[in-house]
Parts: sequence; C-alpha cells; structure tokens
Amino acid sequence: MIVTLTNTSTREISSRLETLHIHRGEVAQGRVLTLLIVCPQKDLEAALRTANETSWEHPCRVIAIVPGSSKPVVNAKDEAADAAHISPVAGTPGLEIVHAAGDKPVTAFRQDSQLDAEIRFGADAGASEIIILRPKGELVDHLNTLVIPLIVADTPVVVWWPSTPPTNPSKDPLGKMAAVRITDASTTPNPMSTFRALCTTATPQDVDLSWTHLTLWRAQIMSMLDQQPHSPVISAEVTGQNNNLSVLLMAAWISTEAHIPVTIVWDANAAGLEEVRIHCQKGDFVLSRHTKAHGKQSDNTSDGNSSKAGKSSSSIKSSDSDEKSVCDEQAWMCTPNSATPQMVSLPHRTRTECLSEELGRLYPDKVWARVVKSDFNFDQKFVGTKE
Amino acid sequence: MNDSAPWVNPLRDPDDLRLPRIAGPCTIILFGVTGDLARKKLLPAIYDLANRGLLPPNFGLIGFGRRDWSDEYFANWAKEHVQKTCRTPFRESTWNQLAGGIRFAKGTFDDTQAFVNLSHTLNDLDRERNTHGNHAFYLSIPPSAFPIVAQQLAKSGLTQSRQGAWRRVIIEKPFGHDLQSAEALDRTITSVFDPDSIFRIDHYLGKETVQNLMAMRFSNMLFEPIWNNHYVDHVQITMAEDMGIGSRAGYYDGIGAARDVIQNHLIQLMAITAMDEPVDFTARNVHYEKAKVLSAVRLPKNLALHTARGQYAEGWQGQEHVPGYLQEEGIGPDSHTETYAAIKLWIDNWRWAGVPFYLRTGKRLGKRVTEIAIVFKPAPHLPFTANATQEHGPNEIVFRIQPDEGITLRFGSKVPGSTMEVRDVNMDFSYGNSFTEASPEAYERLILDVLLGEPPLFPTTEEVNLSWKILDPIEKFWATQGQPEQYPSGTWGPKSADEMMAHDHRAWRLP
Repeated sequence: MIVTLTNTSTREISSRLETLHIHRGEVAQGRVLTLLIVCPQKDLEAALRTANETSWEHPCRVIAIVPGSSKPVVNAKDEAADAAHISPVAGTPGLEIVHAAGDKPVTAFRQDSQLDAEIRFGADAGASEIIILRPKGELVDHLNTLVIPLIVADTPVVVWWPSTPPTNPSKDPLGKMAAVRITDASTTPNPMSTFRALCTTATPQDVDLSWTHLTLWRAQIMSMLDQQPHSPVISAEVTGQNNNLSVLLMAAWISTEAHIPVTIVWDANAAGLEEVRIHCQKGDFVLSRHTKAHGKQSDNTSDGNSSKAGKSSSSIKSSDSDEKSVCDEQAWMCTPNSATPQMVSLPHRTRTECLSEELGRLYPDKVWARVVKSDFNFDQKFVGTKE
Repeated sequence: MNDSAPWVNPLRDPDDLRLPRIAGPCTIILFGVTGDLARKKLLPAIYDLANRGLLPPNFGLIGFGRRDWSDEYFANWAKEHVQKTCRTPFRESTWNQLAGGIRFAKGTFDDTQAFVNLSHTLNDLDRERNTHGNHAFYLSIPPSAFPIVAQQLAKSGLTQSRQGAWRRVIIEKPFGHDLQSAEALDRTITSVFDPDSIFRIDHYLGKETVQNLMAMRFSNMLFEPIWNNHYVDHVQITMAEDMGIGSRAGYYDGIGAARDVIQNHLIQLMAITAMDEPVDFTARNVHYEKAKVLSAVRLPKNLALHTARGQYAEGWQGQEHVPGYLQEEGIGPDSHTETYAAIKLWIDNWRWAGVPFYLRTGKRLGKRVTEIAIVFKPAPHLPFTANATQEHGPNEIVFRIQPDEGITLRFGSKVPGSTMEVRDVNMDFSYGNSFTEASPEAYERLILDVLLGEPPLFPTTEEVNLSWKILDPIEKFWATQGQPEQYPSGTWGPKSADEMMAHDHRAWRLP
C-alpha cells in the first residue's frame, strides 16, 4: 500500500501513519530502530529494496530522504541562502524577514519550501514501514528537524547513505542524531578518494560497508591463526581486485592489529578479495579463493620463509565442482601443518547481509576506527604495474 | 616470544565484537546417527553452524551405525535430512565444506573390531583434515548402551588424547531414572572421561528465552526487587505437549512424564527462575547458585494432596481423533506410567519461604506451550468497588519459552468508558518482533559451546543428582498409588490436578 501526500506536513504524515496502523489492526510496536536513508531519487528504489529485505531481521521504521534542490528559486545565490539561515540577512533573495510583535526578526518560510511525502506499508515495505520525504527549498537545509517528529520513540537512529556520503558524517545534521552512520564509498564515482576522506573523519560510530564485507573473512583468518603451530607472525600479503576498498582494509586491519608489514598485490582478474597470506616463523597461513578460472599464485619470496610455505602455496587448487557459482562461494585454507588445503564456504556478501549486520550491531566499532585512523598507507593504489 | 610463553593470537581483539566465536579444528563422532534426534536436530544444527560460518574448514563428522553404508551414501543421506530441516538457507558451498569431512563407521556397540576401525577412520580423518586430534563423542543412544560404548571407546584407546588435543563426550537425557541409576551412569562415564569433559545436554538451557530469563533478571532494576516472597504469591512452570508418545513406547513406558520432563527441564527452569544472582556467568558460579537453590527444595508432607498424575484417554485433539495412552502400540492395558504429572515444591530460603512452585507437564494437552509464570500477590487494598475490579486478577510476569518466545506482563487497567472498571490486560514483548534476527536453534548453541569448551549451559552431575533427590520420593509414593487417572486428550489434564490447586485456593493458568 502506498499513500502519496503532496505539500504535506510532518504532523499529517504522523497522523496518517497512526490511522493506517489502527485501520490495519496493527500496533506500532516492535519497531526496534529508525533507519534514515539519504540518497538521490535514482538510488532510492534499490536502497529501499535492500532495506525491505533487511526488515525481516530488523523490523524498523525507514525514513528515506530524497532532498530536492535546495535552491530552485530563480535568483537565489547559494552562499547567501546558506548563510541566511544562520544569520538572517535582510534582502537575501527568496527570504523574507518578518518582524513579529517584538522587534526580534523572525525568518519566515521561504516560499519555495515544500514537503512531498509517500508512506509505504504492508507488501510495499517488507516488515517495516517506509516514509519517503521529498523536501524542497530551504527545508533541505533542515533535515534533522524535519525527521525528528517521525522517529520511533526511544529507539536508536541509524543513518545510511547508500551513495554519496556527506563530507563529514558525524558532523552532518542527520548523522549527529544517529547511533550508527553507514556509508558505502564503493558506490561513489571515486571510491578511493571518498574512502580516504571518510578515514580522516571516522569515529567508532561510523562505518563503511567495505569493512562489513570483510567480517566473514576476518573471522576465518583470526580463527585460522589459532591453529597449530603457533609462532610469531612476520608479515602478510593481501591479494585482490585492483583498487578494491575491502582489499585495502583487510591489509590495514592485519597491519594495525598484528603490527606487521603487509603488502598489497593488486590482481586485475580478482573479484574482490582473493587471498590473504600470513607469514609466520613456522610457515604460512593462507586463506585463498584461487580457482582454476583465475588461479594465480602470488610470489612467496619475502622474509625468507621455509620451503614448506612454498609447498603449501602451490598445493592450493580449485575444487572439482563444475558450478562456477559454487566455486565463487568457496575458499581454501592452508596452514603449515595441513596436508591438503581445506575448503571453507565463504560466500560473497550481499548489501542486504552487510546492512543487516550493521543493524544488528549498534555499539561503536572501535576496531574499525582504530584501523582507518592507523598510520597504514591508504594511498596505495594500483597504478598500472605491480610493485 | 618463545615457545613456553602462552600463545596470543595477534588478530584477536576483545574490542572486535563483530567476529563470531568459531570452533577450532575437531571431529564429532555421532553415535545413534540414524535416530530421530540426529536426523531432525543434530545434523541440521551442524549444517546451520557451518552455514553461519561458525565451524572451521578442518571439521570432521563421523557417523557410527549398524547400516552397511559407504561414506558417500551416508553423506547423501545426511544431506537429504539437512535440506529438509535446516533453518538457514541450504547452500551448496557450505555442504561441500562439510561433505569433505563426512565419514561413516559401520558397526555394532558390542563389536570391538568396529571400534578399532572407527579409530583408524578417525586417525585418517585427523590427518587428511588436520583436525588436530580433537574429538567430541556425541552419544545419541539409549542410556543402557552407555556402559558398553564407554568401555569400547576406552579399550580402543579413543578416550586417550594426545598432548594438546581434547576429548569431550556429549550425553542426552535421561540421566538415569532415579538417584541410584544416575550415580551409576555417572560412574560409568567418568571412568573413561574426565568429569570436566562431560557435557549433559538439556536443550532447554540452549533456548534463547531461558538465557534471556537470566539476562532479564540480572540486568534490570525492575524485576529483582519484587522477585521474592514479599511480592510473589506462587510460581507456575508448565511444559505442555499436544503430541502423544508416538513411536517412543519402548522408551516412555515405565519412565513417564515426571522423569522425562520434570526431572530435567522443569527443575532446571525452576532453578534459573529462583536462584540468586551468580557472581559471574562462568560455569562454576552459575552451577553454584543453581545447586544452592536446588538443595533448598522441600517436598510437601502430603504428597497425595499436592501432586497429581494422569494418563491421556482417547479423544479429540483439535481436528484429530487420537487413541488413549493405554491403546498406543506397545503399551500394556495395565500400564501405570503417567503421561501427566504435576507437583508442588517449596524452596526453604529467605527469598522463597512460603512461595509454592507448581510444576506440571503432560502429553496430549490443549496445545504445545512452555512457560514460566510468576504470579504476584493481590494489591493490599483496592480503593474501588468490588464490581469495578471483578475482572481483575493477580499481576503476572510470564516467560513464554515456546512457541512465540517472549515475555508477557499482565496487569489491571481501566476499561475505557464512563464507569470505573478494571480489567486485566497483557503487555507483550515478543522476540519475533524485536529481534527477528534468526535466533539459533538450541542445539546449534549447545553443540558450538561443546566444541568451544564453554560449559555454563550444561547441568552438572550435582544438579542432576539434586533433582533426582527431589523427584525420587514422589516417584516412590506414586508407585504405591495404582493406575493414574485418565484425562481426555486435548484438555488440560486430570481433575486431580485442578483439585490440587483448588486445595491451595489457586488455579492453573490457561497458557
């Protein structure tokens, strides 16, 4: 069910929502959080689909904000309009200063400010309820006060920018209200530079989905190192798709947590993360996706490791499974003691799975902040030839 | 760092809360692999664990059974059953990960050679899969087979672990049929396994709501202050099944509802409901509090008045006509086994003195439900007319264990309108609403805990013995009372159970 509201108010939206609940015999309970989605119209439907899929695990109220142009007025000057709502300046085009009974100037609605909205319910909203807000004009500069009346009482707020994030999520008016701020730099036109910008402002309450993509890999690698033989770690190599953010983050994580040098090997043929190889005193621990299709071995010469490490590396091979889709979900684990590599199911994670993990975890992620704030060189990128 | 210093995994970070606990390399050897439990619960739970990424790649699974099966046949058979009942989506890659480590060992329990073969299979698997020689023996078999299996395992050297590797054994209820047999069983198992490596599964303790009972009680200010005899009138713990005994006649007859359910599940639930707060959630301290409260349990003097038992009679259960217990296949017409049992217990300590705990369980009851209800005393004074409060009963907090896991708070509220009328209403917290997050099946959680070596959710020998001490005198009394009273299938039990409550001026809840 979809209800469209033109030139509406937050009060009308709330009361329509409440009426819908009553008429459908539902009580607005069990909404565990409010998920704010901020994106342009072109990314909206895909983002809502992801949110709907996630809603079966995390029933929430979704408020999608699709900001219209903040200055559709004929002659509004950007800077002037922006400055205007901080310190009202008389004479700014599109802005009226109204003198109330006292002599305190009051900024009135700019005439072009308008709120259109849409409420989606039931089959159109998964297990959640969706409010789409399309603010125009000056409203665009006040998104926080726009959504405050619509947030589910006494529950955490999560904000997700499925495409371009703000310059500093934690200082963004919507970001400031949120317990968790989710970005997805890989969807932006220039993922690397977006990501580097996010690194500089990162806090434990921010997270980029390129980090979430790594959870299963990190879990397997961490528990792989628990296996015998135990010996000090020396260095590591991370192989993966050219300029893939998750590859970079994997290297940064190992380097930050284990305090060892980590080399990145870019591989144009890889789809995402391809291999992680940790050199230890007693041999190599490897988790690799190498398959026949693009089974390329990385060099294993650094740090003068034993020949045993070399042997285990060459013994990694693809499964006999014919189905490519199955191969893609598999990885192979090899430790200095293992006779043959062991297969482990390591499916590529979907955006839904990643979002779901974020909504399931609302505590600050200190490790993420530590990794992106570390002195790891995030400027490394594939520049045509391998180092 | 040198070899003698304890190994610290440089990637393990206590702040890294995203990373799940993954079991280390190991093999599970499943005895009774073709049984109901293995097919419907254990194999799917193992698959689901793997699918959630909680099992290592070097994991092995050996089925031990009588059938003349090859490894491949067993693997395909297992796959079929997993596909039928797994909770997470079936994923071919996950199955492939498991399938590489699946073996079948053919043999009977009395065949020494079979255990020698098992030991070879195990060694090969250890080598091929690099499972580090860690073995968990899951004895999903009747307790009568424990002694011989334990003996065979010991004889073939399977209970000996090489340095750095662990051996664990998992056993299912029943843990004996009285104190004496429980102690004998314990001696059998401890003669070949270290007491710390024995894991007794009570799958109720793996359920989210049961763990939440502790979370609720010990993480909130709201409940603990009223969790005592100043405010609580009595406690009702119910586990009702709508099923009959099905094909379990051989096991069930002679055991009965009290031994089958009260001795383990209900007494455990009572212990968790009534215990004081543990110092922390280590196995030792949780066990300490449970044992303390169980040792304070006292039986009523007159067992005839304060216990009840029954047998389901032929009748209609929902839309289905069902046979009575005595007509079930394999049950003699003179069977004295109860399919319904209700008992009243006292807990003699400061917190609970004077508060009765009523425990009941039965088969072929109105519906399938398990719950713990804390029923509070009436308000000391009601400043309303008697008419205004005639629909108002005592306040209750109900922990719904299954189905629809959650918590209900029951209290009086004014009925909208021009007159003052107070009626009871429910305030619900439902797991399904707030965390639809696919909560793991109890067996998943428990198997993972065994593999990780984390025992807080498993009852200890002492707890088992204490609960037999509670139940034994009741069983002894019932043995002198002849055949249990009949109750129509699909109802809430025999008349004597209602009379037992009426005698205390109380009534069973309608769950």
